[in-house]
Amino acid sequence: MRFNEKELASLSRQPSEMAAELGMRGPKKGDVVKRRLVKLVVNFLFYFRTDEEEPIGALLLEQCRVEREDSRSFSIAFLDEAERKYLFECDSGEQCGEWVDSIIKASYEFMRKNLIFYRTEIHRLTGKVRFIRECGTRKALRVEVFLCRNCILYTGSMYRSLSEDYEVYVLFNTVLLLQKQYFS
Amino acid sequence: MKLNERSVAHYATCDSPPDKTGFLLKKGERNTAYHRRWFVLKGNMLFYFEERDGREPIGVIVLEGCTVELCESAEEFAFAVKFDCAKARVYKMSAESQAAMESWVKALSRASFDYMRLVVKELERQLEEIHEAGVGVGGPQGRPKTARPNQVARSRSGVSSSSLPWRESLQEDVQLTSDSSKENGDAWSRPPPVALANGFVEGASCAAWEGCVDSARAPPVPPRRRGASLESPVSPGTDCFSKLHDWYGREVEELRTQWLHSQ
Repeated sequence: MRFNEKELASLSRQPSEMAAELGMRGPKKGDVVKRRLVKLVVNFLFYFRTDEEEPIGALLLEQCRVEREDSRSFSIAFLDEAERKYLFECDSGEQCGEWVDSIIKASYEFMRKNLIFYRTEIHRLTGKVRFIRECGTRKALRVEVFLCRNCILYTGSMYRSLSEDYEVYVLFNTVLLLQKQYFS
Repeated sequence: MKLNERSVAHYATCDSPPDKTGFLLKKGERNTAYHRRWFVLKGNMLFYFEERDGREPIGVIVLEGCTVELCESAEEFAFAVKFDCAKARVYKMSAESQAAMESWVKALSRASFDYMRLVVKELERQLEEIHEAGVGVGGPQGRPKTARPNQVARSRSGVSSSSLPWRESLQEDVQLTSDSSKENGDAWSRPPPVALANGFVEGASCAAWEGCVDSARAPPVPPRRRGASLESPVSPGTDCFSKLHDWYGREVEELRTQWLHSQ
């Protein structure tokens, strides 16, 4: 898969949220821990040989799981290959905790959830979103749904408007429920 | 430079909702002809596929730090994605219509992590303002009406919910913050009309949210549920996101069960 390597390298030189020398071990069998300069920039984790300017590589931090492995180390695994873990060794438990926190928040998808949460919260408090009871008629697609802002957080992914008459957002799972009932 | 390519390709095709998808003509690198590709925008990553149902993207353009401009081209509705680094490649693309071009330019201009961060911060700030202004979670009945030019979708049942001093429209906010974003320039100041057809899913996105506010007419409002003003046991401070997430998760389960039982 092609990617714009020059621009990505340029991104690695931007100011970062977190940068430190850590022990890093790749996901393959036989990989050993090596000292690397690890740098977090937006939703990428770059890693450099400690004395070099160009990164050896980058990890896009979407769809990944960050876990604390023990008191001083954490791992990153990607959801499509959950057994392959990148391991990072920190100098202290505190540093380890900071990295885990930062990486969790360093994904676009996480930011999106935040965005949806705040928007819905503001809408709720300013009365712009109506909570209406769920009923539904097949005919005009005027399905009044029970909007729960929490639902958006809960699934974190999809919402859509079912009707042009109502500014209504529906949790993906709830939409499925309704569809079975009214349109099958 | 290495990249976790397999996982990045998986991100392109996994079920997280894309911000925008569509066909565009893309100018090739060595072969300077324009090729029609299926584009998928997720966050700050613009993937392109040979075909719409391609299993794996041919490539991806990392959009962080880019600017989007209209450009001169033999192709109609052309625009370019440019970067600020030395010897950077210029990605020339063209859309199938004026509306498509405008929509893509807008989406790509805002497709950076930095922009998203700004928007979130802005909303956080607004939320704090609301809390400080001591606005309760009750209905809007007690508030005086305020006449505003873009009340369209919000003046339901004739009761305006805005008497608060900050900018009312969230979509304005989203656009306002784009002005302060240096890198990702945006030539367009008005939102593109987003047609949300019934039953049509085009993924969750900021654009969908804004567009819906625009296109909805004012319907009659059903009686407002009293129980809707849910209060959180945790003070809804902005640093409690994950606690709220957990608490609300339980609430969702309850509500869903209730709804199911009532059927």
